[in-house]
Amino acid sequence: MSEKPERESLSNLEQYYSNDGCPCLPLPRSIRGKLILSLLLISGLGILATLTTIYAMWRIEDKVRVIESFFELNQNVLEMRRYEKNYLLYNNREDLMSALDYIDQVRASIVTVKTSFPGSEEELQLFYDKELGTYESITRQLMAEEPLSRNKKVLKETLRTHGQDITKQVFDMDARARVRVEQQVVTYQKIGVLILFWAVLLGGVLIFFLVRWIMRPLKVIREAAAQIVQGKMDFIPTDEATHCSEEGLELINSLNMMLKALNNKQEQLVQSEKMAAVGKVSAGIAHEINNPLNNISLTAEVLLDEFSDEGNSERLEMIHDILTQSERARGVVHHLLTFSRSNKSNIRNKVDLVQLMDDSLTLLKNQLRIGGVNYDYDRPKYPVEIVGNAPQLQQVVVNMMLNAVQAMSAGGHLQLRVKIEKGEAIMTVCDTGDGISPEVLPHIFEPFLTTKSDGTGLGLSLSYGIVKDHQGKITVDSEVGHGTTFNIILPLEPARED
Amino acid sequence: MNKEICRLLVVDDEAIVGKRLSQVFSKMGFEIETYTEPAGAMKAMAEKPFDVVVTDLKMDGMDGMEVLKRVRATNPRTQVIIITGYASPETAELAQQQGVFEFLVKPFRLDELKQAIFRALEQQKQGI
Repeated sequence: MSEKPERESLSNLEQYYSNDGCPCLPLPRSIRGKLILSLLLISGLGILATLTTIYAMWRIEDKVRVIESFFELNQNVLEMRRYEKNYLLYNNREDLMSALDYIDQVRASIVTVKTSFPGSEEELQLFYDKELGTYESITRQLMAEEPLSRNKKVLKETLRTHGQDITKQVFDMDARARVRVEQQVVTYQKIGVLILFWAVLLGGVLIFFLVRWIMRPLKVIREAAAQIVQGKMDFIPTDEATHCSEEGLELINSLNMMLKALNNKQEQLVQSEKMAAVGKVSAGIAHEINNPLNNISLTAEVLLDEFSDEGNSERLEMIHDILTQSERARGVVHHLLTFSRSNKSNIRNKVDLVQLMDDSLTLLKNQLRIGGVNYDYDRPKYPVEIVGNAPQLQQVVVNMMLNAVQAMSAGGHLQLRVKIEKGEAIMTVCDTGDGISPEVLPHIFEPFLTTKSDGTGLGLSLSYGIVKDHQGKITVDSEVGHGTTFNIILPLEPARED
Repeated sequence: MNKEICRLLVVDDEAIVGKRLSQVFSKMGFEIETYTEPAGAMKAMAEKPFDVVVTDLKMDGMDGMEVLKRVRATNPRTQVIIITGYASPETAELAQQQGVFEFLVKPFRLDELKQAIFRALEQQKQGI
């Protein structure tokens, strides 16, 4: 017989935390748990990515506003310089006044830029105060000056120079702001790509491990199945490879249980085949014994005949003994033959149950004696006749009596009874044996159920079937430690043919 | 009445059966012949018919049923008694159909056989 798998798996459980493929993190052991965990992780990453994108979008809005405000500033400065240029060309005082207006516009734009571009306040304030301030004062001076003075020419030059400076400064600020915005956009892009990369990596790793955790036990099962089919193994081994997932382990354990049950059934089938064969052989042997028995009794009878006129009573008695003993042997063979004859035939005759019980008792007297079982047969004085198949019914009674003897392994008392009650014939086989436990009791008539090491588990189920065929039923009462009573109830009236 | 000696033929592959029956029936005044194989028995039957034939069923060569058939065919007056250890309702039925007089199952009591033979002789005498 092969080893039991339980011993192996216990020691492997201890090794669970130190093997490859199953990291020493407190991961859930079932595939379901791992799947849920990984889905949560991936969802988490997905949410994180979305949140990051939303945040990036929000910040970009700010950036756009910055660029817009700089654009506006640029436009105002350009207008301002346009009027400056016009004045410098045509000396029109109105242009100068427009330029002044635009200086205010520029000032307003700067305020807008300041609010949308935090971090630039100092620079802008400086520009606002110093540069624009200077430009404005020059402009005012020009407005106040008398035309054609030498000062005016100098002032005009200064104006143009300042104007150019302002333009340049604004241009620089704009450029720098743009660069900063672009850098931030690139940063957001990088973060996004990074998250994506990690998500893909994690997904890949998870898929790899999940497949492995699922496939490994399946692979073990597949390989083991091939070996089992060839007869090289009896069960699927549970080693570290299969401990990675609860489901895998459960599956293998279920399969092993099934294998064990199948093996049991097969063993029992083989056993019942053996029994059938033994039955056949018994019949053959019984016949073989009949011949010598016949010769013995025939010879003894002839001897009796020869010596009948002799006076020696002792010799005559001995010859009588020979006859009696061979008569006895004849009886046993007869019972054996009747019992082992194929019960497939369904010949129905009148059967006297009282005699049936008697015959069964005769058949098993020896078993009872060996088993230390004393018996009592409460037989009625009248025959109890039913219509049925005598060998089959005898099989039932003998089966129950055998069970009773085996239940009384340390000896006991067997009570047999036949009686009529309420139009039914009842045969009772009652023992003082170990009894049947309440868990087993509902199942005792199931085929292949046995608590004996050498039983087929078929006896009671066959008996049940036979009694059912006779439109009867078997009832059982049992108490653990006290004994068991079987009642075979058969109808006296033959049932109507369906 | 015709004081003819009754002729008895016994066929059984076990010699001891023939020996014992010979002892008994010759003492009773029968003319008894015993054979352990049917061929010899049939030859004897052909030479001089017997009144009663006692035969076993399972034998090498011809089996008892065949003996029964042949005897009933050639000598309808001869009564056949079958003695056998292999008894089944089917074989008994078949033997009945073939015209067997009595079907005895081994082991039988000597008395049973004696009675059967006497009854067979009665039958035979009445059959004339």
